[in-house]
Amino acid sequence: MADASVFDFTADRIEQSTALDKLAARGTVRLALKAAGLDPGAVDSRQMLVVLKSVLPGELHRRGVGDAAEVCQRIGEALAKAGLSADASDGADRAAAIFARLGSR
Amino acid sequence: MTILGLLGVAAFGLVSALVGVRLLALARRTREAPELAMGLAFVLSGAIAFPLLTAAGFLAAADEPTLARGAAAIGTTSLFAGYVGLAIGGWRIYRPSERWPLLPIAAGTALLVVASAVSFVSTDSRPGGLRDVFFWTGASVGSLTFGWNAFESFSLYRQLRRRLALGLAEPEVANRVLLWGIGSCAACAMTLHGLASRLLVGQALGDGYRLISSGLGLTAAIAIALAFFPPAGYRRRFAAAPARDGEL
Repeated sequence: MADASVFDFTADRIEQSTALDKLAARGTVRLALKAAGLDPGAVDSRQMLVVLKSVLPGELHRRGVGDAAEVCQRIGEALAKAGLSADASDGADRAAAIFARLGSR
Repeated sequence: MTILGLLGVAAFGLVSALVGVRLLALARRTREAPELAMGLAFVLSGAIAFPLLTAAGFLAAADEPTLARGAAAIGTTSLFAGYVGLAIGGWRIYRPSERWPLLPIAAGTALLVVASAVSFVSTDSRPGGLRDVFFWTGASVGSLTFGWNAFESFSLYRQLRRRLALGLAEPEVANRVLLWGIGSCAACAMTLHGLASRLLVGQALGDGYRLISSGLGLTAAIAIALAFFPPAGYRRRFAAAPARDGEL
């Protein structure tokens, strides 16, 4: 599923680029997504790019990754090139889209 | 004081009717289920049920028991049908891909059908009589439905607020979700307050009770109006909010 692969892609790259093991890398991405109000099973590239820019550097820094911002920058560039796209929006996105419609003129 | 006590409840009915018509017009264009279900819910409760139930009270006071019973029965059925629309709307908005909500919705609908049937068949209009008991049983189902909508809205709002900080959600939409949560919460509390008042105090409600009910109705009316019928000035608040760039 394309949605899940954005999460897997990011966690795998963090594991490869840092001293974090698989479990820690995935846990860190999960925590960052939770802080951003996103679902790991439904996050798309656009959302992950924002998380990589604004949330993950701090999370990685807290886990002793020195060049966290640089790591996230590199992963973000790779993610953008990978062209992974979500084939469905998550529940919150769908509900928000309905609310946008319900109040539209 | 009596007029003040009725003000909030009347405002809730009026706003529900206006919002309902607006949502049904939207549903006609979009052919989507959420606006159809919510539109029917608001129209049935606001435009039909509230006027009929109010009229039933006046007719009973004017010693027209047959007309009063008829108006109350049609109003009750309309109100309960609105609750079903509200439940279906909640399901289609928050959990469209899940099937479990169908079970409580079906159970609630069955209870509401029985309660509606009793309102037509029974002539027992005494306080605490069969009609009264079934009316408040149905109203409790409605209160639960509003409560569920409030819970889902607040959960969604909490999620959207986090996204908002990163520019991943629209401020106006997040505010609309919050307002619907507040409106649902107030409507739920209004019904629960009515039920509790009946159980604890009986039919002869004092002005204080009416004022609380009116305050909750007014809160729900304002929140629902701002959520689904926002005036241009209110919308402009969000147009001025800075958009965040989502790209690296």
